[in-house]
Amino acid sequence: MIEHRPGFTFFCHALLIASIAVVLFPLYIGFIASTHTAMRMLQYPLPLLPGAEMLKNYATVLGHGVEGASTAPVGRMMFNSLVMALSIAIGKIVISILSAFAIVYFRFPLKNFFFWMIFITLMLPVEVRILPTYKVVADLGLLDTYAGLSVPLIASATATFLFRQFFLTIPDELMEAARIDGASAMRFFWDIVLPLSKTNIAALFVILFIYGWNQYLWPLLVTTQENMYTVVIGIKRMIPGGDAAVSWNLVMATAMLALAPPALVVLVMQRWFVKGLVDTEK
Amino acid sequence: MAKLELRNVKKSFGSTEIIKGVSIDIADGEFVVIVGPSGCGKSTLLRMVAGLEAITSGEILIGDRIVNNLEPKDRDIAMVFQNYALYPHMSVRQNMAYGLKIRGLAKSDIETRVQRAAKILELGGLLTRRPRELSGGQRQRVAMGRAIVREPSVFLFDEPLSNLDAKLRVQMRFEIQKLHHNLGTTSVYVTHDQVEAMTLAERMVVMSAGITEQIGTPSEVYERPATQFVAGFIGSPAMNFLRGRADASGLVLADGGRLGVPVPAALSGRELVLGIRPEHLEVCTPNEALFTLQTEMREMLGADTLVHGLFGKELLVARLSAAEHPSPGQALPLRPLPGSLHWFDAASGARLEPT
Repeated sequence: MIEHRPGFTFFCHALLIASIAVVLFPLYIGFIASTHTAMRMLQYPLPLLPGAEMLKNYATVLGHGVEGASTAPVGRMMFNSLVMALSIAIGKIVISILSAFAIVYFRFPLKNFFFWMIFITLMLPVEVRILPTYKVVADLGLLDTYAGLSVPLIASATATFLFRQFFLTIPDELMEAARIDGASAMRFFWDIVLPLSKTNIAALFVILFIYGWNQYLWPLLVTTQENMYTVVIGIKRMIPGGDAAVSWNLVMATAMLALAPPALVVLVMQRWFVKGLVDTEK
Repeated sequence: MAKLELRNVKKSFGSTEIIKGVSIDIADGEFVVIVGPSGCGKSTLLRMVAGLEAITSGEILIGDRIVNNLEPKDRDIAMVFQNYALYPHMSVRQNMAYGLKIRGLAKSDIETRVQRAAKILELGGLLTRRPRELSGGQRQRVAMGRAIVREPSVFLFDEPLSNLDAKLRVQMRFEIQKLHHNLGTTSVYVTHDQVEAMTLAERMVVMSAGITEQIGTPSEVYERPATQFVAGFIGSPAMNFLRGRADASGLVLADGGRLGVPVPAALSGRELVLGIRPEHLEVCTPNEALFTLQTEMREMLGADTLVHGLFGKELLVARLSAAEHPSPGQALPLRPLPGSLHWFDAASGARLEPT
């Protein structure tokens, strides 16, 4: 802002701090809950200060899972989620960068037709094609496998489109210079296009990792064994129906653990993420 | 090193013919400049030589080899692009070495060649920098370095100086000349800038609308332009043209005016265009004058003065000495220098040289 009135500065900061507090408070409550016993969490009022059970709670969920709830140890579920999120993120990037490369740099029959076919799938959310996809995955015997969890989610029109737009901004002369230097198409891709796409890849990786990690409906459908559950399903499974008491302390500990990897990915890749989204200079 | 030969080369995009049959012979070690207005096909022609555009018909020979169907890398050429086309993520050294690395040269060979090129182009201290850390002139030199290390038979330059400011352009022009003098590699240089063309070329090719209007040394092109197009394109300010029908007493202009110019007998009765360069006009007494210019505007250039004015309805320009400063409206008697008149056929634009 150009204005520098103290009152205005105060107002801006107050607004920002208030907004952050609104966002952070539930997370804080969740964290506090994960440090108390199950009994304490059922009493009124809710605790606002950390309790003494933190290490025990986290050790319980990570190592054993929750008594009474039909879930595997959270450690196992975190691993499942990690495998799925990484497969989806990496798979999407590999496939979409290659298809974008083909669409931008090669002339082949029906090129535009294929581009539009890919583009049109942007309009179809996973839920629309979930039944046929389930049938295919089931027939291939991929239920309760990592392949079944990740492969159907890998094809990505969004990422293909983003890479295509980026490749279109790379000057044609670079490709021509590479041809004169004797680089084959794949060599050009590997030596020139890929290094130039680094920041875009990083930004997409962040988005796609979180997308993969947060998948709920699809893992719920294709997994039936507890040891293939992802952590997002796990949280839901920890809340038994009926009259059974909910171990809120353990549920919240699991939620905290489920939050950590995406938050970590964002924190670590933040610099690249921002660069990839705003940087146009090459 | 090799000669380069284009034999009736044509290029069409769909039904549009861009290059309408170009034949050029370029001797080994010669520096040839292709010049023409934008859209005349000169860059396309160069890209066809480089192998970046397919050839619709005709033949291109480098050395004694027909290269029509060879990949760019197999043509033994190197190209310098207008926007430099340096790989942004590679250092200067990597940029220059990339092509050699792909060819599979030994590391020590690559390093020797890069060092030699860096020395020629005075890039020694910049080898570890990235292109974005370089100035325009330095980038241009790196682009040339990348061409030099390949040690090609033919250098191709595609408007390499267009992105530089005027002062750097003069400096780089000089460096390109020096480079060619030292390496003696056959070079083809495309530009729309006639000053670059005149100063760099050993021979120049003037193109317009996909055909070669004239091929010759800069002085041939300037002194004896083969067509009215060449006459108007080369030289600044452009040549003055007066169109009319020749009769016994001179030229009857389109607007009815009469120019008492001695028309060669062989051209009598024809529809002609008379061309006089602005720098070939001088002030004289009214009696000696070929025509009188009604001064409209003058431009002081320091060393000399451009006087724009009307003769009848024709707008003409004269480049006069700095001592002349006619005021607007003043009548200025002018005559051409001896032997400086150019005659062109009004219909075809071809130069007419009655003997």
